[in-house]
Amino acid sequence: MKYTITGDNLQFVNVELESGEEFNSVAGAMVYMTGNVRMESKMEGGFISGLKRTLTGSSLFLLKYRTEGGKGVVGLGGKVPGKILDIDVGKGAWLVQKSGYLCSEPTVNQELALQKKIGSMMFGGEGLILQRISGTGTAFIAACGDLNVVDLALGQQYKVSSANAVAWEESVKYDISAAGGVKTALFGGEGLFITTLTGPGKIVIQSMTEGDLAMALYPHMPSSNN
Amino acid sequence: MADAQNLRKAGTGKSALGLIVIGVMVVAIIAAVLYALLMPGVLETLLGIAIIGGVILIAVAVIGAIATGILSIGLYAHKGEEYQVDVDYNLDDVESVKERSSDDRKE
Repeated sequence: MKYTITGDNLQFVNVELESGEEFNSVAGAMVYMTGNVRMESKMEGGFISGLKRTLTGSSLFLLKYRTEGGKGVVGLGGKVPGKILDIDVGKGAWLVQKSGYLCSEPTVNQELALQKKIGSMMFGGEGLILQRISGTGTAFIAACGDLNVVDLALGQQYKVSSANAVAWEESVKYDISAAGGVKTALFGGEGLFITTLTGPGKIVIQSMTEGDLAMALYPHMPSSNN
Repeated sequence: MADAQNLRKAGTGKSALGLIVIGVMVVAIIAAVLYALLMPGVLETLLGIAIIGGVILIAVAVIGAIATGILSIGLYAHKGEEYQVDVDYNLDDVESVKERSSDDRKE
């Protein structure tokens, strides 16, 4: 499968499909496709799997794309201003924030994963439910803001603002730590806790969460008074 | 204006019929719900249930907020502020996500 990720802050993933090749995406991600590509919605894995997908912020039905002879191209996009990142899940499973999965080769599995520690679940910023992306092949994740990728060596640790961790390899330890003393907790803007990500493994960090974007836009929303 | 090359057409007549059936069913369900609501006493009962439900939800939210507050202080005291000493990190380790392609993966 050949692909390009184009654009700046509202990126496209453009996928070239060979004849007989298939590609999956969440519902509503397709932006364009060539005339020889057909799409079909399928409840991949059955109703229970579909429901689990819904809990992870994905869709009940997945869209499957295939060409009717010859090469074809499909273009997909995320739902918020941000970046798209390709991850090779054949090298190891990834944990991704809710609704991060965008599309993938059909050999990629998308499952529900739960935070194991109650502290991380309540104060880590990502909530109870995550997406676990495993299998073989390439998957694409989309997230708000700009993205930084860091490949952590064993024992290296990054401290990340709550909810700004987009994805991390399963080998990475996800936990929380106190943000600092009482002054920092009250006036630092991070609250009581920050997220800690400890290597080995790759982590993906976003510059802005969807919540941050909504809060930034909220004061500028039109109201009946103006 | 030219037509697209090698164009074929898959029939969507049955799918359209399916959409009509779904539409009729949705209208029938809405009509049945409206009819049920117009029966004497139903609206008053539903309003009572909604008020009780609302009070329960508020109570659960308040209890949840208090429990979260207590838990967060306890966890804050227990976790402490972790930091590493005498380790080096490099700005070059932080890679920004830009435009990419499958050819970059092969490198």
